[in-house]
Formats: sequence, C-alpha cells, structure tokens
Amino acid sequence: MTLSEKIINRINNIPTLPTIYETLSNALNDPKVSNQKIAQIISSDQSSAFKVLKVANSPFFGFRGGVDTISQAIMYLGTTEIRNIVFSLSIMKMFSKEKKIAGLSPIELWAHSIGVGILTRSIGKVIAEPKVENYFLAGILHDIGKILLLQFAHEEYNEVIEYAEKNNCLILQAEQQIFGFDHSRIGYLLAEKWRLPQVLKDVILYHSTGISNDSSRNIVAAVHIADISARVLKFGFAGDNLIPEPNIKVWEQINLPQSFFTTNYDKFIDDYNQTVQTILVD
Amino acid sequence: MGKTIHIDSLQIGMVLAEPVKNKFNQVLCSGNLTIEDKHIKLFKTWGIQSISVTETDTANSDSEAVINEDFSGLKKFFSWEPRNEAEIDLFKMAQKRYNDLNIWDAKK
Repeated sequence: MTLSEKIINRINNIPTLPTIYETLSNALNDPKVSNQKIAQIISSDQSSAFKVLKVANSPFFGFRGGVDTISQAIMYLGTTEIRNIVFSLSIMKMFSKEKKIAGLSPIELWAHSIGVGILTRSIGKVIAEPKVENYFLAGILHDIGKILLLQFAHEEYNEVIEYAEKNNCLILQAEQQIFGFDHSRIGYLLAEKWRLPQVLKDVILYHSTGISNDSSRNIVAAVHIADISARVLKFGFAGDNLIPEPNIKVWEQINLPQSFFTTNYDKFIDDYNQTVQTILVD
Repeated sequence: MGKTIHIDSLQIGMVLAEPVKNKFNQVLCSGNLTIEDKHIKLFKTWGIQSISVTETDTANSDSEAVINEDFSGLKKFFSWEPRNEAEIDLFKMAQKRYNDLNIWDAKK
C-alpha cells in the first residue's frame, strides 16, 4: 500500500458531521419550522449558544453588543448565517486539540482561516454578492484538508512542513511532493462525506487556483484573494511563509473597488483581532 | 532628487525620497512612503538623525505616484511584482502592516 493510500484509508475514519449542524440543517429545510425552534436547538448546548452570541455581537457582523438572545441573533443575521456560525464554531472545537508539529498548530491554522473568512466576507459584501452569508464559512473551511492531515497524517505532515521550509516552497507543493496529492483533495473528501453544499466543495477544491464554474465562481475567487491577503497581513499561519501570486484572471472576476485593501486595512485588523479573540480564546 | 533634513524637522505628510536604513543597513521604510506619526517614532527609536524627503514634501495621491511606488523593501516577502492597481494596493497594505508589526528585519 502506498503512503497516499494509507493516509486516505486513515481519513476514511473522519468523524461524522457535527450533530448540531445536521440537526439545524434538517430543521431549516422544514418550511414550517419557527425561529423559536431554531433558537431552542442552538441553545441546547449552552457553551455554543454563548459563543454564537459573542460572535453575533462582534463588529464584524455589524452588531455592537445589541444582540441579547439567540432569537434576536436569528432575526438580525438570518438563519443561514447563524447556522454557519454554529457550524464554524463546532468544527473548530472538533479539530483544535491536535499536537503542534514543526511550528504549525491547529490554532494557528484556524487563526489563518478566520482571517480568510473575514476577508472573504468583506470581498463578498463589496462586490454586492447576494449570498454573502456563506462567505465567512467558506474562508473557515478552505484549508480543512490541512487540519485533517495534521490529525490523520501527523508524522508525515511534519515531513511536509520541513520540506516546505527547506525548499522555500508552498505547503501545497510540499504536500504534492511528499504525498502525491494535496490538502484540497483531502478537504474535498471530507466535504463529500459530510455532504456539504457544492459551493463549499468548490471552495475547498479550487481555492488555490481561484477558478471554478459559474455557480461558485465569485466565492472561489473571493477565497483565493482572501487567502493571499491573509498571508500578506500575517493573519495566523498557513504552514509556510510564502505569498503566492494571485491568478490574474481572478481580478477580472471580482473587480474590487480602487484602494480596497488600504482603505479597509484598519477594519480588517480590528475585525480579525476581535474575532480571533472571540472564537479561539475561551 | 530629495533634500536631507534633520529628524526633528520631519513632519507627517512628507514623502521619503529614498529608503531609510538602520545602522545594520536594513530597510526600515521604503522610499516614496508618506510619513505618519509611527514612522517618526520608528526612526527615533533607531537613532536615525537625517532623512531624505522629496522637494514637494507633501503626499502625492495621483496615480503616477502610485505606479512609481518603491516596493524594494518587500522583496523578501514577495517573489513576484505587482501587475495591476489591485496588486499595487495589496503591496501598499503589506508595507503598512509590516511597519505596524515592525517586522522588516524578520527572516520572512
């Protein structure tokens, strides 16, 4: 059995989708479900409910301390956004206790992903994307394959990190060299297993090139630019210190306003610091 | 061409004519940078005595100034050059961030 086959076999033991997400998704598919019922599901886990309220009250989501209950949060942010926040929090909780290897820890990776989530959502808002509620979650999930490799191929991933550092290459290239595949494929396997929406599968699979099909074109392009921008801003650590060159075609796709990055710089920093503090610090 | 002034005469809004280096010859700020309060503090921290600023000594905001931005200080962070306005803006954001974090001397 080759190394890649061994790793993929191990990844077949990937945990099931966090229960709360499935329960919430099922409830949201029921047209007759009330907001009270949704609030009740979220509130069934007190610690999650508390964090959801903290996130909903952060300036990044636009409410500075005005949201007191889960029902209010649902009313202000909508059920999809709230479900996505719940899902983001559960995944981070699920994969946050792995050992640190060669200077890379799940916490640093999650901090990078939170940064990408914030920047992706900011890009989504500025390009007037109608379904912007998926944008934060897309950023959170884009590198889920790296988190899985940290957990299921712990020793081999150490070798990947060392290879990337020694050869001054992207972690993606080091993964391809050592494993014969990269984290986007592993992340995609999880997304398939969890039956995540196609748009999120596309983000996980195509974020490094930034190019996807029609239905997910904007969100994949936004994550591509957000990923590079988060590296520029030193938001967390993605596994290597390089800043990849953006795919030139992606700029045409998302067409950002002039001086988008420098104009919003202070907001990016504040949103990142506060959201990392809210989500990753107990 | 710039004119050399004493650090005490440096004012917010002036534009650097050339990169400012510390005694180890490491770039603290690249040229063509508009001076903010934090830059003055940075230079004083490093004991910089004189600074070369552009003759007009005010911030240029026209597109020509943007295109001519000196990103040489960013070479150790980026292996590519900006190709359009969005990427120039991304590089400018990087300069701002690395000034704030004061990581110009970092390995990467």
